[in-house]
Amino acid sequence: MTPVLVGFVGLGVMFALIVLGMPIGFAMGLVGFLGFWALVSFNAAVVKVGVVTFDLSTNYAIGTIPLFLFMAHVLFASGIGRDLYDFAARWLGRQRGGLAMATIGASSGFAAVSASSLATTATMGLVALPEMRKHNYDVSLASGSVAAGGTIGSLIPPSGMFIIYGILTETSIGAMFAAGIVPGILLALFYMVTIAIVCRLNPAAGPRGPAYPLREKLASLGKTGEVILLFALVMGGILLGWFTPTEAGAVGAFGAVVIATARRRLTWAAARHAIYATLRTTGMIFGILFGAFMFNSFVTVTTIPLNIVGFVTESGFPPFAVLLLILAVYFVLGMVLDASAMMTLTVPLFFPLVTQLGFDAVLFGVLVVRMTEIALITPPVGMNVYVLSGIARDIPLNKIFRGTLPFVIADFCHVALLLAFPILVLWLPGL
Amino acid sequence: MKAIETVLRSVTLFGGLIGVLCIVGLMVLTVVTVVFRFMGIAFPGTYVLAELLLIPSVSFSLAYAAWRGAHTRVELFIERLGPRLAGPIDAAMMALGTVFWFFVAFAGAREAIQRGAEGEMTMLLDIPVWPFRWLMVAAIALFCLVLLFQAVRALRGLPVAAQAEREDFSE
Repeated sequence: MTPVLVGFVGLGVMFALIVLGMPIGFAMGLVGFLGFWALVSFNAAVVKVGVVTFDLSTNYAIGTIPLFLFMAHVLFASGIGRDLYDFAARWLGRQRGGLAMATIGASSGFAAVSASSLATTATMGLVALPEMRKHNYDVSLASGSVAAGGTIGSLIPPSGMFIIYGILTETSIGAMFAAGIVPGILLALFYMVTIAIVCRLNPAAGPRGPAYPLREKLASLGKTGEVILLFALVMGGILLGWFTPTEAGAVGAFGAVVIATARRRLTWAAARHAIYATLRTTGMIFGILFGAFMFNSFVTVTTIPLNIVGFVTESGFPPFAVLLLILAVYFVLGMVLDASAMMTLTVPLFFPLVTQLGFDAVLFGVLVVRMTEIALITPPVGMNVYVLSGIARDIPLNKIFRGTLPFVIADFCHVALLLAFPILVLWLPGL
Repeated sequence: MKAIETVLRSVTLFGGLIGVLCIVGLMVLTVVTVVFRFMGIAFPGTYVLAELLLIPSVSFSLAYAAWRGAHTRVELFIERLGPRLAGPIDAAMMALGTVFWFFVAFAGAREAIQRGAEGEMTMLLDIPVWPFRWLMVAAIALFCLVLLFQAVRALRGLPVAAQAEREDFSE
């Protein structure tokens, strides 16, 4: 068998194992190890797996993962999700569909301190959804805005997906964080416009909420002030070159502990929950990363990426069409795979091709994250929708998926905008 | 089975505690480094210490996540099967997956023996690396044991996730 054929057999076996329920990282690691053994030698495979896992465990850059996760879990335990929502609801709630817009605003704020879309969805599902239902919002609009708002979590830094992409492709994590800010803000605006359009077409979907005096609005700002400052310090520190991303993670986590303690919300139980949740999520991510790195080593020796590059460049396809095709593949894969699995599986295959075609690694990273995030709200494996469904068990899945549809359309408009104007992504990292 | 569960649970939680302490240690060390750097005082070698702290944080987190049933998997197909079929398939997948981690532990042990014999030290601080290599091997071996235990549970038709949910209250 040729290495390419072994590679395709390996891919087939891996997908079969994943479908049969083997944890994704384990399937990638097992196939990667056995494939490397088949193509090189047993001894080389053992050396490779030892070197890959130890190097990954001692990579200073990976410190960003547990540290940013810790920051998010501590702030989550301190009830910041509720404060952010209260703040947004007081300023936007009076508009038609305002509470849904507030959900998007609060999701963006929470995304600025959380590394995960699922955490953002879970938090807003607990905080915002009951409020919208209390104010007679259409269930589809309410749940759709929570699920879609969660996707902003992976775009606005710190973002777990950007960290994983940065580690996989050796792209600067700081540059990825900077690149996500403008698209993240734009996405929040796109979602708010979407809500405005939905409510214009069906005013009963999002009735006006109560009006608040200016004093109350300003008071709500006070509750979120420290978190805004913390985000400014962490991201400003990275952009201004004061900190590396790992140092920013440590400063952010420490700041979160200080804020939560000052608010008298960091009880012993909350702190313990935050740190163990950090450990659990860290283990989950590294379970995939270890497997992915072994799998990448296998994919490299199969020469599949080189063959793809050779095939595409020789066939004369326009680079832009190739990029669109890759994004379409992500959309299709997103229907059956979760976001982190999709990224770790496909980036090693597509990254060499995309960079060979002249596309910027940072731009590709943002587009990949966007496509994996769209997958979070599209059926059948829309993880954000499942998370929300677990919180609001009385809302049928199909109603939530129906509610996310207008946001998926907004997502495609957003991706099209980024493709048409890459400067929106590349401007901030280029400063 | 119950005795094994109790022992494994205690060891995993103890490993988790080591991981937790290392994450907190990493945070404090990094913040102190940043603060002192702003004051014009540099501590050479803190990066090396941070890298060493990452080893137990990462490797014990794997076992802890496994104990909590947190490793990401696609359940779309398996959920559609009846419990009589799903249990054995779950068990087989878990046991097969352990094979990869066994090789990780094996490779780590081989490397630890070899590097230990060479007297491997960190740069700048001259700290021996071999204890950290063995710590990683121990953590991955524990991870393998947890996975095999879960495979046995799945084979007996016991839900692995139920175990994880109980842990939420006992942490």
